Amino acid sequence: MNDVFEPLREMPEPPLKTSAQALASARESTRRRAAVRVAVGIATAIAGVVGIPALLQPPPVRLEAASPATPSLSPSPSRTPAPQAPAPEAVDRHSTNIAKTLITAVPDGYKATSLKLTDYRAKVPMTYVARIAVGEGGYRAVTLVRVSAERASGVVAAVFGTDLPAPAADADPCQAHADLGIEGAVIERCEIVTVGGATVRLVTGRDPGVGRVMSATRYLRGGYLVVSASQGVRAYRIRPAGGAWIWEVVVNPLHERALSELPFTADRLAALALDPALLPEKSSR
Amino acid sequence: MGILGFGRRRDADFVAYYEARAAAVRRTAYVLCGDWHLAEDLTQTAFTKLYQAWHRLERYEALDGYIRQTLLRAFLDDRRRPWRREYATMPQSSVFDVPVADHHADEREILLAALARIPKRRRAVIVLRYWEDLPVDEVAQLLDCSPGTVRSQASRGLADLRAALGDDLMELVPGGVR
Repeated sequence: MNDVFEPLREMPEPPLKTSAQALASARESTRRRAAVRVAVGIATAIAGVVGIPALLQPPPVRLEAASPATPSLSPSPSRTPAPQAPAPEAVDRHSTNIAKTLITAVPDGYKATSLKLTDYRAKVPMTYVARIAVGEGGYRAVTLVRVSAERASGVVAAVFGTDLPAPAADADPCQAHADLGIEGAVIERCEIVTVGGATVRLVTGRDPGVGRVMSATRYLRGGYLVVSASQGVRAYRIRPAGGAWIWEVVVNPLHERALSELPFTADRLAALALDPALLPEKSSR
Repeated sequence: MGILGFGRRRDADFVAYYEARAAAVRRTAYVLCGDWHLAEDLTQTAFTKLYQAWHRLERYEALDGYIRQTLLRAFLDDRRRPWRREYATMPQSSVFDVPVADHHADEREILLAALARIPKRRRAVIVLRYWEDLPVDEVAQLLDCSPGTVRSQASRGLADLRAALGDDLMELVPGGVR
């Protein structure tokens, strides 16, 4: 039976993480485990005083102008026409500017850098800024920026896609892929806001791996743009599997400490989703 | 020895053990899961657990058993995977994980695809018995089951592998499975 495995015994392998990296990761994990034990002890003590519901209640989300009715997220002829969703090649060409726009929008007090695969897969050189997968149903492209402060890290991301349709005019926008851009999170709140005549869906939630997450979705003609922010590091990868491409979310692969709070308020994230600088020139009109 | 001394010695021993065994551990992880990224995650998880348990492992020989066990637990426990499946699209143009070309690539792909179709626990038995070449008793201990269960799982796993490989089995192994 051993012979069956012969092709695998001779396989080429990607570079192994160095012992220094493995040791650093093990130490950090050990340190965090000890810190969590202390934090759990403190949280339990607080819960005994103020009650668990108070601890579980999410902080309020500030909205610039929440619409009481549920407006359609489909492009409306009565408003400024939504920009056309860009082609994947345009996103690719524009990806450096997308990253710059995200970095510029990060509030003072944080450090922001473009997040690339090399950040969590050492020695694997990557040249792209946006990660794009093209399929029969459209494409999806992600540009990620790491947001850091006091040795803790979170992420802000811009996701362009044409793989999912906009919700129908009579549909509840919060029922349609509400976790877009924050996949895997437990959704706590979904609201529709109007900023400068444009409609944005704001979704907040909590991800067991990264803490609080928030997305601002703007539906474009033929696609969408989601800007998301998370307290901890979350990223994407694409891998082939059984003739298809599988999108996956990586949750805090380096066991980094999450930011103490989301780097964006809801209104700032909604405004960022509407920033024309995120759109490639030909589609931003 | 003081705590500081223990910490330094643990780090030095950990580094030495990692350099000696990490590549083999990651290869086993890869045979189990068929994905280098996940294999590296599983390997790091196993070595991190080992680091945290170092003071309880008195004998050097115990390290191999411990690292195998933690690797298996991490592999069998989906909740420990940092990657979550999201959704699938059909491939058309963009490839980002550049494959390495070599003459065994097709055979490996066939074999890994066949292994992936075997249930995870049964696959673990096959890999431990025939990739790691461990005796039945040791596999039983690692998987916390009886030797009889290991034998039956190995038999079913081989049958699964034969069924999954079909004609490809002959291509991989002239004369069939030994």
